[in-house]
Amino acid sequence: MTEVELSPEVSEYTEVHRHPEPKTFISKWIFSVDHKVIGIQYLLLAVVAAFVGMGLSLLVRLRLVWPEKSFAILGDLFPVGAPDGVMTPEFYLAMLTMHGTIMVFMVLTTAPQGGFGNYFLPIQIGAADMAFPTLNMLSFWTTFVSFSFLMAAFFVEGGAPMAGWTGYPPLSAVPEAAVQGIGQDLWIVSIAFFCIASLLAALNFIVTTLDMRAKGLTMMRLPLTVWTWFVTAILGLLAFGVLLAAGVLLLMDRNLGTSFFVPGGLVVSDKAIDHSGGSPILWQHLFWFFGHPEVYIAILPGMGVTSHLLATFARKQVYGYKAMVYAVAAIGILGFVVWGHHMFVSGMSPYSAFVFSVLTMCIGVPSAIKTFNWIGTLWGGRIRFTSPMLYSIGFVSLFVSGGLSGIFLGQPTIDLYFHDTYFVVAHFHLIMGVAAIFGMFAGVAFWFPKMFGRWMDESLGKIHFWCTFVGVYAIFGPMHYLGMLPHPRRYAEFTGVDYLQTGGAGDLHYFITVAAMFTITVQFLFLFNFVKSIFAGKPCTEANPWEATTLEWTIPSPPPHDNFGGKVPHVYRGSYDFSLPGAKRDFAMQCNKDEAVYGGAAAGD
Amino acid sequence: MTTTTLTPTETQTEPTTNGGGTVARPPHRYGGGSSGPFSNRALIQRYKLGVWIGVGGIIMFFAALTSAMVVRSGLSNDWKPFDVPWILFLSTAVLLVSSFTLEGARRRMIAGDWTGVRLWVNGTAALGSVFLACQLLGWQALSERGFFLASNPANSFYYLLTAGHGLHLLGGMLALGYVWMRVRAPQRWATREAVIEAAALYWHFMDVLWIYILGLLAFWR
Amino acid sequence: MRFFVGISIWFVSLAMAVPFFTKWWWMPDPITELGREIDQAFMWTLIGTGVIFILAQAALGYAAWKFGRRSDERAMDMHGNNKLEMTWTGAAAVIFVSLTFAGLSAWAEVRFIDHRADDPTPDRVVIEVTGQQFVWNMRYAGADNKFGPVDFLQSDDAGGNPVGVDRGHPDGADDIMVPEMRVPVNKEVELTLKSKDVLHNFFVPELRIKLDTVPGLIGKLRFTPDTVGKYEIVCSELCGLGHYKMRSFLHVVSEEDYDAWLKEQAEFL
Repeated sequence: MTEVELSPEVSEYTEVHRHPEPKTFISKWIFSVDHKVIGIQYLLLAVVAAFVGMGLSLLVRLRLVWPEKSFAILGDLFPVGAPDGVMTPEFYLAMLTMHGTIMVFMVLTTAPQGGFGNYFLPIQIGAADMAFPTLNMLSFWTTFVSFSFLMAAFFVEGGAPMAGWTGYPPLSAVPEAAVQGIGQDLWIVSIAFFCIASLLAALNFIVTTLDMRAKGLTMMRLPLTVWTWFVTAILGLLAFGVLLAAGVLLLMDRNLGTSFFVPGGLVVSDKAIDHSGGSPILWQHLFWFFGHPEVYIAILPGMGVTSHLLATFARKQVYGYKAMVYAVAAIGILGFVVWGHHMFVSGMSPYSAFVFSVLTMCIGVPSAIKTFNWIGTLWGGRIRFTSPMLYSIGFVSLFVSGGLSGIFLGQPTIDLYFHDTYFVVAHFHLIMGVAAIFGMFAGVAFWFPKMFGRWMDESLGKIHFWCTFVGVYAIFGPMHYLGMLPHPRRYAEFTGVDYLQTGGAGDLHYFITVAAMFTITVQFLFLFNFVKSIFAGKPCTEANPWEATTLEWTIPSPPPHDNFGGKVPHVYRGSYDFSLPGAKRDFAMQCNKDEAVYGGAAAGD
Repeated sequence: MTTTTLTPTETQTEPTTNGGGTVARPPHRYGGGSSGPFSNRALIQRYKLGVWIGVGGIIMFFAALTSAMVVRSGLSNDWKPFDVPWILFLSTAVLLVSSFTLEGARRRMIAGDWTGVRLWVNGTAALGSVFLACQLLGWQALSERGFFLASNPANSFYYLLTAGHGLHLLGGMLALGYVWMRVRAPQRWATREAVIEAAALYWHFMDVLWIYILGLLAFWR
Repeated sequence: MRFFVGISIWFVSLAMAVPFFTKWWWMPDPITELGREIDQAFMWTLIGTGVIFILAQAALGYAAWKFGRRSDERAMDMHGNNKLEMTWTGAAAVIFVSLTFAGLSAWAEVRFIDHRADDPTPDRVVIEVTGQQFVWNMRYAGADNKFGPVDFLQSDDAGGNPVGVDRGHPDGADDIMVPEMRVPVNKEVELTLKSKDVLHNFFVPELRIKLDTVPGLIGKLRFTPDTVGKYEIVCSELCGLGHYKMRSFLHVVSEEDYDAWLKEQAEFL
């Protein structure tokens, strides 16, 4: 076993047991128990899923603008869904459903948590691996199975499910209502596997954070990234079990004749449906009890990365570190009691709507604290505009834009108008979709040198940032205006609605589609930069190229097996000691003793 | 540039085993550690913490089913209450006894008697199998009364909850199998102990969960 | 770079906000008092969030521009200010929560509907709305002001009885089934919302209200239109492949026209 060279920044360390390196290709890269490899596996899965999901969104956009147009290639790929290349309305809904499901589960849940969390949480807390490495491997491969089931839904008879990513019964529970085969069943099975994978992963993250921190690394010294991964894991642990239960019930309703969600006396196209006594609203409660925390599962890690990067590149301490931690915790807790705001117009009790509304507004408060503190972190800093920093600043802007529209939707009175219109689509895409993805872009650009020992192309990164930043505003800004008209969502075309023929809906749609085509094209620039840099990027030999403070920057790039090579650094300070007055440099790493920071007799030089 | 001398403060040694089960010095998280039959407290603590966290997730799963059941029972008049099959009380007794046998295994482990551990683990697994068989008989008894999965929601939840618990218990049986393997092939001392502790904790939780489910099935009408 | 970043944030975010002030794309005029109340709540929220939006984006852009300069001096040593944080948090909490309270009365008016008899009275029109894939069915109680019993299982789409009204029942014999809704102006209308198959959502933009039609449940909506005209009813809950074409019309007509129409419909029976 080769000796690992720890950065000279490390003042003291503890020696721990080292595990032997895996020898074979399979144990090293496929069924690996190394959290770093698993993190990369998650990231690659998310990249594939993101491009599939993006392709689907392109189809959705094309169909909206040119409902009658024939795309020859689609006719070949999907002879049933797009006969002669013209997309049918049910094909549109299937693409929409799969876009939502893939993006929410396979991208927004996997990459920030399973990808970056897996890779960097153990390193940032000074651990050699996750608490349960084998379980970690199982989590990934269960996720992979889930992804495979979801992809299979495209190719079965009847095609992919079309009940939306929320899978509301009876549409999802009564096969006759959706004219479909087993696509919906595969969807449910996929979700169930995903739940199991996420539960196992959440368990692992929580134990790792609680039990494996380096000496001196107290909870209030944790990097905010670790805090958000930790809270996200708690949310996942408590939320995914509920979705799993709901999924099992739905699968039984579809296939075994039970009636949990399907009421009696239904007549679908003149045919009586043999169910009795269930309630579609029960599904909605179970689903959104999971669904709302899921929103935070997607966005919290992005918040963590943003806080981390703003401090690092503004060369400034995080403004109000404790407030940031409490805000994350508050968002996590409140996230479990606001699910009803998805159901204001569902027929749920109007009295409970009021309670949910007030709680929802309360969640705006910690979000406001975060925004304020992000700006406070920049204020008075010495900003270095690297590409990861640009993505982080973009995140803040998108977070503000996407968050404030939530203030409209959180009020039942106003939701009466905006519910299920494009206003909602704009809202959640900006905040949970794009902002979270900017968090991922930031993470990739920031940690790339550590993960691969090479640099990503900085100019390409900046071009990609500018195009994407403008592009996403161009896509989702106008969707708010569509919502004002109001344009109902999930419409395969809007030619049937009279009031949408005037008022510019067509122009807006056209503009959005063009913006989407542009933005999607630009993403290939990112993909190119990512893949090219893995193999041919400029080598990065330094341990700490960004002059950052946390523990991952004390080890070689890429990190060796076991991360610290059996020598876990001791931690002496918080995560964001930038620009300390009187210090020799403008940053103090967590493993630096005071003597090393300020000089003095004990510094050893 | 600061240069500091690297000084390892404490040294942990790889836990060694001599096959028989005595360990020279228990490694602790930051060195030190206590001696005695309990070695490697840190690992045991970690595994048990893992089980506790997992219990949280499982509780949410069954809480969701419970709330669905409570809501569903009040929704419509198709809810037909029924008496749970008597065999469930036998299976409950079997499961409770199995917790004691696993506790016996844990005792033997503390005493360092690994042959005894295997014996008690075997006994526990056997009782677990008897429990699962009883649950199947319970299903049979119910279906003989003409109550099938889709007959009415009360029956649906009966089958669902018992199956859900059974699957979780099956997971516990797998853990016992793992323990059995670990005990047979003495590899790493530390994991072996931690796994037994964790499996015991999980198994006891399965008791509690089952009693809760039985209460729910018997009394929620 | 710093200049570019700052300006872009200002420009992009302002560009997105501009149409909200110029009202290039806007809601149709409301036709109920309640609708105007909801618009008022919307405007308050727009002002509140608009101020926060502009302040936050402007501050973000300014910070990027101002503190992006390269100099040898270090960043400020500033890690928090409890008073400032409390002020900001308090202000946000007050604005957000008071907005909810401001809109509460409108919500209560739409949805806190006490249980009254389902049948219409002289000063109140009651219409039963039944959603099905992919049409809306409106039922009026007819001359006797009493709704007959329905059974979806007896429904006959082709035979003009899509919700299965019991025509043999004295209450049901004169029930009027139509695909479009017609109501008199300035009179309270109460809707009973039902669904035959999956979830649908009854939405009229000019009324500013919507509610899911849930199979197995009955939903209630109430409104008093004060402007004569023809308005569109659109389905706002995904209901299957024809979701995009599931729509109908709401005709608000004068009292006389309404009565005449009712008589005309009764003759078809």
